[in-house]
Amino acid sequence: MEVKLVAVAAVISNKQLKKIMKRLLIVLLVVFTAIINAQEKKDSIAVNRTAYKKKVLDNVEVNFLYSNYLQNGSHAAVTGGVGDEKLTDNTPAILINIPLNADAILSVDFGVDFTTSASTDQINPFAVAVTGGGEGDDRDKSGTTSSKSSALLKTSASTGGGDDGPPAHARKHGSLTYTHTSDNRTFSWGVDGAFSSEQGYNSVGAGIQFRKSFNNDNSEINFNSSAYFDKLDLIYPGEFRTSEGLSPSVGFKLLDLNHRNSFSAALSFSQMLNKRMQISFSADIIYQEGLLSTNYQRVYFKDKPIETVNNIELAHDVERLPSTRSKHPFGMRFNYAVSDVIILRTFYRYYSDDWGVSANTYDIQVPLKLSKSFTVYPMYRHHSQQQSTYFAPKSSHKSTETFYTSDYDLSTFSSSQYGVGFTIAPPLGIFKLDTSNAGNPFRFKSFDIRYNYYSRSDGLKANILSLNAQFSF
Amino acid sequence: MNKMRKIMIIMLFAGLITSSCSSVKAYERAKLNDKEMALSPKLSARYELQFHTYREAASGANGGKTGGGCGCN
Repeated sequence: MEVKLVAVAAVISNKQLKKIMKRLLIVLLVVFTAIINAQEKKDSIAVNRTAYKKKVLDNVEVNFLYSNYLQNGSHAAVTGGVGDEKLTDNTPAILINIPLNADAILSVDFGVDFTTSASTDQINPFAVAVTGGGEGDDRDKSGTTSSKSSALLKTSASTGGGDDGPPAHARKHGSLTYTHTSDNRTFSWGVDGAFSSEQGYNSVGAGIQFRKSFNNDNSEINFNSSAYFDKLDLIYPGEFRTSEGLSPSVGFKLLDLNHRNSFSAALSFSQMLNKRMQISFSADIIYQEGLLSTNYQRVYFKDKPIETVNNIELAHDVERLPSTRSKHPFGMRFNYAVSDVIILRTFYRYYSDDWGVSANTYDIQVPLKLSKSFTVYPMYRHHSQQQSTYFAPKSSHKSTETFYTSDYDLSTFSSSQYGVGFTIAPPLGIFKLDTSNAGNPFRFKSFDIRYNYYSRSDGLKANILSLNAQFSF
Repeated sequence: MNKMRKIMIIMLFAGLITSSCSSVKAYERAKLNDKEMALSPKLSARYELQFHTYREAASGANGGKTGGGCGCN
C-alpha cells in the first residue's frame, strides 16, 4: 500500500514537472524571440552588412580526431560496487564541415568507440567459467559449488560460449548538422540528426539551434534543444537468467521498461567585456524518462545472506532507479587575454538534479602563446559531488527500499584532473602544404594534442590522450 | 524549481550588468578573436567531456552532449 502511494505521488510530481518544464521552455523561447526582434532593427540600422557578404566558411574543413582512454578502479557497478573497473577505449572520429554556399554549412560527424572492459565479462561470469576453462574449472573442482551449479554447467556448455560475446565491443556514432546564417551574419539557425549504436543499445536523436548576435556583435544569445530516443536490450546478470539454470533471488521482478528518452534545452548568453575579456553564462534543463538504471548492475542487500556458485556471489537484485530524472546545470565561462603571450580560460558549473545529486566543477587553462604558431596550455579541473539519495555501497541497502544502486559514479567524491596540451597552427599551415595557386589551397591547418591524468577520491584513476588534426581544401 | 528561479535571476542580472559594458569595435577584437579565447571547449576536448559525463553524475552547461548512448561500462 505504501509502495503504491509512493508510486502515485511520483507520477503526480512527474506530471507537474513536465508542465513546469513546458512552461519554462515557452518562456525562454518568447524571451529569446523578443530579444532577437528588438535587436534586429537596431543592428540593421547600425551596420549595412549586406554590401559585402563574406562566406561563413571558405573551404572544406576536415578534422581527424582520436582519443585513447585508460581507466582503473575497484568499484565496478556490474559486481555490486566492488571489482575491477579496468577499461580501455580508443575512439577515432572524423568531422567534416562543408560550405554549401555563402551562407550554409553541412557538418558530417562519424566515429567509433572500441572499448574493452574487465567488468563486461562479469555480466554473465557463469558462461565464462565453463567455456573459458582454466579458472572456471579450478573453481568447480575446489568443491565450492552449490547444488545449483550442475544445471548451470550443462546450460553453459550447451550454448558453446558466453552469450555476451567477447568483452571488447564497439559503439558507432554519427551526426549530420545543417547550419544557415542570415545575410547580415547576426542570426543563424541549424538542425541536426544523430545516432549511436552499440551491443544492446541504440539511440537516435534530433536537435535545433539558434544563435543571435547583437550590440554590434558584442553580445550573443544561443539556444539549442535536442531529443534522444534510446532503445535497450534487457541483459540481466547471469544469475537472473533462467537459461543458466539458476533460480533468481526470491521476489526478483523483471524490468518493465526498455527505452530511455532524453530531452534538453540550453540557453546561453555571451558578452565582450572589453578588448581583452569575455564572459558567458549558460543554463540547461535536461529531462530523462524510461529505464534510467543499468539492467546488468548488481545490488546486494544487507538483510539477505549472499549465496555463491563457483565462488561467484549471486546478486539479490539489479540496480533500480526512478523512471524520470530532471537535471539543472548552470555554467559560466570567463576568458582573459592577460598579455600577448598569456591567456586565461576558466569555467565553473553548478549542477543539481532531483535524484539528490549536487556538484561543483571548476576548470582552468592557461594557454601560453610561445610564438605565432605554437601554443602550450597547462590545465587543471576539479569536481566535487554529493551522492544520489539512491546510492549506497555493497551490502548497505535494505531489501525493503524501492530504489537502490551501488554505482560509484553516483556516490560522493571529488576528482582532480591535470594535464597539458600543445597546439601547432602556423598562419600558412603545417609543412607549408599550401602549394595551390587557386582559391582552394590544401592546408594542414593545425595539430592539437593533449594529455590528462584523472584521479577520483574513491580510487578510480584514468589517463586520456586526445588529438585533433585539421585540414582544409 | 527554486534553484531554477535563482539561476534565471542570476542570468538576468548578469545580462543587465554585461549589457552596460563598453562596446568593443570590430578593429579592437584582435585578442578576443584569438581561437584560444573561444567561449567553448576545444574540439580535442570532446572525449574528455564524454568520459566526465559517464564517470560523474553531473553533466551539461558546457556545450557537451547531454543525451544518447549508454556509457554503461
